[in-house]
Amino acid sequence: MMIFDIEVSHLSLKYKKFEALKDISFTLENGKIYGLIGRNGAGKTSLLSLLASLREASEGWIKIAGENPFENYKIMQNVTFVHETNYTEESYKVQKYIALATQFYPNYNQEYADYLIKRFKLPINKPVNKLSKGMQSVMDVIIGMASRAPITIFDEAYLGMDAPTRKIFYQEVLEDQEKHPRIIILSTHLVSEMDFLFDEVLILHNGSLLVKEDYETLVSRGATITGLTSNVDAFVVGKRIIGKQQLGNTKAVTIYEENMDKIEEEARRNGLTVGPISLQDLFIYLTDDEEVA
Amino acid sequence: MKEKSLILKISKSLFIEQLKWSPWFISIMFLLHLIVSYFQTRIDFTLNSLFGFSYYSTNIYMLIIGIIAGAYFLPFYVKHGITRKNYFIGATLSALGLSAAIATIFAILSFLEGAILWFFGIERLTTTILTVNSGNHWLLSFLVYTLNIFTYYLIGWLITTGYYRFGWKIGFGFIALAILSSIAHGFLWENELYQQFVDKLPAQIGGLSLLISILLTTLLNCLILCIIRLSTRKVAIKL
Repeated sequence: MMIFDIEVSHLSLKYKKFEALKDISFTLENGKIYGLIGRNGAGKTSLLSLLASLREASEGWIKIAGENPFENYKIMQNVTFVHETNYTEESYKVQKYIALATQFYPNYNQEYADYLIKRFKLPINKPVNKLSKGMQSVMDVIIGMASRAPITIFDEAYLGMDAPTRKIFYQEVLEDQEKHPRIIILSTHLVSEMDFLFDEVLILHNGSLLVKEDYETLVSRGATITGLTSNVDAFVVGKRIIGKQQLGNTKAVTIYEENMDKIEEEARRNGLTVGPISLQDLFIYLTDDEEVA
Repeated sequence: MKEKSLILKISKSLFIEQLKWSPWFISIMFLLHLIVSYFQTRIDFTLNSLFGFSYYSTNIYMLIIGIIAGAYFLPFYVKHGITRKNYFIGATLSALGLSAAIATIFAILSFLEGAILWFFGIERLTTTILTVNSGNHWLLSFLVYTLNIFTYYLIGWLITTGYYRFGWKIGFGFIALAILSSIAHGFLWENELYQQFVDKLPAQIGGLSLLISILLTTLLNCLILCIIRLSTRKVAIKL
């Protein structure tokens, strides 16, 4: 049986003179959910379309299950890529469209698709272009989930979905992943809403891979130190500060350091309060160009 | 699934989807021909059978189907796990099947209509489909019809491919290529344009035999297919 791990080495992508991806290397393991986050234009979709063999890299290589995926039918039929699609001209009925889109995925499960159609209340007899944007996204998500492809990619798949619908989507990702483990890549900038899904996080910034880390490890590197302004100011000297907040005599400073366990202990000894920080805060900090400049 | 059966599945799926686009076209041609046949009894002129009558319109129809299918199905299939190569082979097979199917449907309808008209005493229909003499042999006529509408499908596919792969500037070049192919094809089958030029052509080019026309058309088709394949071999799929 093939194990669909992904190995990416020194990957670059150029569009004429613009460098969309710069020298990216990482590996992804079967059974994990990866969050791919990055600001607009960071290169998320470019990277994902390379993984889905929709284009060829300018330099470097990708291996999926140990093989080059590009124009490799054994690999390509095991990768599903859900992305925002313009459906204004799509007059096929939903049911027909789903059937056409999923017909070549070896692991596609019709029962599961039917279950999802019910759960999301997707009207299957409407033409696709008559669906609301949110329902079109639901259809895409159903195609992606029910294909049960060993590599399942959702590129901002939630667009137009309302909050309750997104919640169902997240639940389904977790539930089906438990029963049928695969690699799921969720690209998003709704970080605070989706971070609980991620086993690992990849942060792309200006075409480079900034972070590829286990979610828990990553967020444990940050903390908010709260206390009297003078105490806090004295404590954070020489530490990497991500953010500050002042309320009267109280100050909260967010810091980001490797050896956070020690720092937290020291802070508590100094009578300061230590709180966790979110991936969202980290993401904003790490991709903030202004601060660097 | 083995690669061969995968390709067969692709071509079957493409064949069915495209054939489903065709009933309205076939019905319109059928009705139109019935109406013209009716007037034929009033005014004295010779009318082709539905088979011959539909030929030029079917060329245009196949051109359009080729344009639409090439633009729609390539990105759709590649996005859903099919390699460009397997799509290319599957699409070629399906287009060949579609050409044969449409020729068959018109042949059967022609036969039925002939029988009905005969029943009402109208018998002036001829079965010539082209100026080139296909000897009125039904199998040859069928082959020629299939081959030629297939060519027009490929010409449509060629145009779409040029636009998809290279954008509108070079896309225009592909239109020029398509027009050239269509002129070449017309000459091979001695169409009206050819009739105007025939006197100016060297004698040895005029009066192609049927076999040569078939062979050269097949060659033309292979050439177009080569250009399509070379242009889409590694084409980036737009999102």
